[in-house]
Amino acid sequence: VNWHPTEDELILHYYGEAPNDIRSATNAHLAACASCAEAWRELNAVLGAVTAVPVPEPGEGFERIMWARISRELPPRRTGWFHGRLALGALAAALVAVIGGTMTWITLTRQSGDNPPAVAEAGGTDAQERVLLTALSEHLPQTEILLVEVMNTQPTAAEPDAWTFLRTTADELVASGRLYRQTARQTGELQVANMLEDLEGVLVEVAATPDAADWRDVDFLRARIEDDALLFKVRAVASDIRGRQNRLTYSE
Amino acid sequence: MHPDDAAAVARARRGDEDAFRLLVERHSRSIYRLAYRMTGRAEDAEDVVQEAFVKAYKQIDRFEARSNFGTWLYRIAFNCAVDYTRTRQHRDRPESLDVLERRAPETKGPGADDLVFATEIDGSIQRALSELSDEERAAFLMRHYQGCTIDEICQALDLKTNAAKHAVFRAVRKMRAALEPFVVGRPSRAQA
Repeated sequence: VNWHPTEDELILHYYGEAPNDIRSATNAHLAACASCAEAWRELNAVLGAVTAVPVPEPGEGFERIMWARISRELPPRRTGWFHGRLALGALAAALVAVIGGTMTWITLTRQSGDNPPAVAEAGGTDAQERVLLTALSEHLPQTEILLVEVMNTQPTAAEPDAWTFLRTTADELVASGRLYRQTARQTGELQVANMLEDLEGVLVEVAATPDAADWRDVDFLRARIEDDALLFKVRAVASDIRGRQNRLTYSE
Repeated sequence: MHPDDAAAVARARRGDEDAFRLLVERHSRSIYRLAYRMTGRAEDAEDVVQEAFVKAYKQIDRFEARSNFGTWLYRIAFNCAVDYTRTRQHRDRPESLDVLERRAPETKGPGADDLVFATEIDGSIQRALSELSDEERAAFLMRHYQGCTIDEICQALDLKTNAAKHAVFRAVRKMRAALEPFVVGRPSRAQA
């Protein structure tokens, strides 16, 4: 017997990874060579013992439990974002319609003198406030998510789509944000208007990020977000808006 | 790839969480087994399963449709398990060892020798596994326990064929060195 399988060849043989011709030659050899047969038995004994170590099987509801844990951690669905933006667009259109209608109504009632102007203005302001609050209650959380993504996403070649998505989203948030900012000024919501103005500057920068954005672009954006405390401001205003919405609901 | 994985992956890519849930239900147990072998603790293995699937969901756009989803997932899980064990070095005593050591002194009466022997060898296997390099351990676990082929290991661990084979060879040699004193010359556990 001139040929003896090496240890590596025996390992491949054990796992069924040896080529067919080597496999049959090895089988024939093991039947004839006592020393190789002994080595083969030892390999089988060791690997057989390893196989016998049990892994405790998780319980019956394992998949359900894991899904409950995993689903909580999944990021927002992009389709959800898309539909959310469609909804925002509709909301923005509604806002324009309501504000336009309200202003027209106020003008007409002032001219006709049918109602005292103060009452008319109060009614109109309430309606504008509600619509603005509703719009911002959608707009600000989406802006917050975008800012968090900017703080955590790298414009790497490995994920080119991630920044494309951020750019597109920022562009859409700029458009709707401008409308809300104008409305906020008209309704005397100066704090909100100023915050939206600060936000707009950063969103414009994100939307204008070049395709070949690098660390310097991202660092600049992050520094601006941090220096202006934008995430804090967005969260604070969003929280204030939720409170005002609740008060309006309870006062009805 | 499971025949329905491709469809589920395509739906999950469009943001369909129900489709992703199917993938979790289909693959979480095998990922758990791999994670358990890597970490040695049930709780850690569950954390790794969770992290692996969340990462897979975030990166699903990068999955190439012609690839095997299970193999791709193994790769993610393997990386998660390596990171997990590295960042939690304080848990350097796998649960199974603790359990085995607590169990050993209680084994008295008929068959106690066999149980003590089983305890010793289980402990030795866990120790031997923990002393393999990350690459050797992953390649060995995938080949030995999960039945992955060398090609699948190459894909999962991003290795060339020879590197994957040699990772398995080195792992088996180390396991033999650690276990032969216990195993050779004794009847197999199945026979015992």
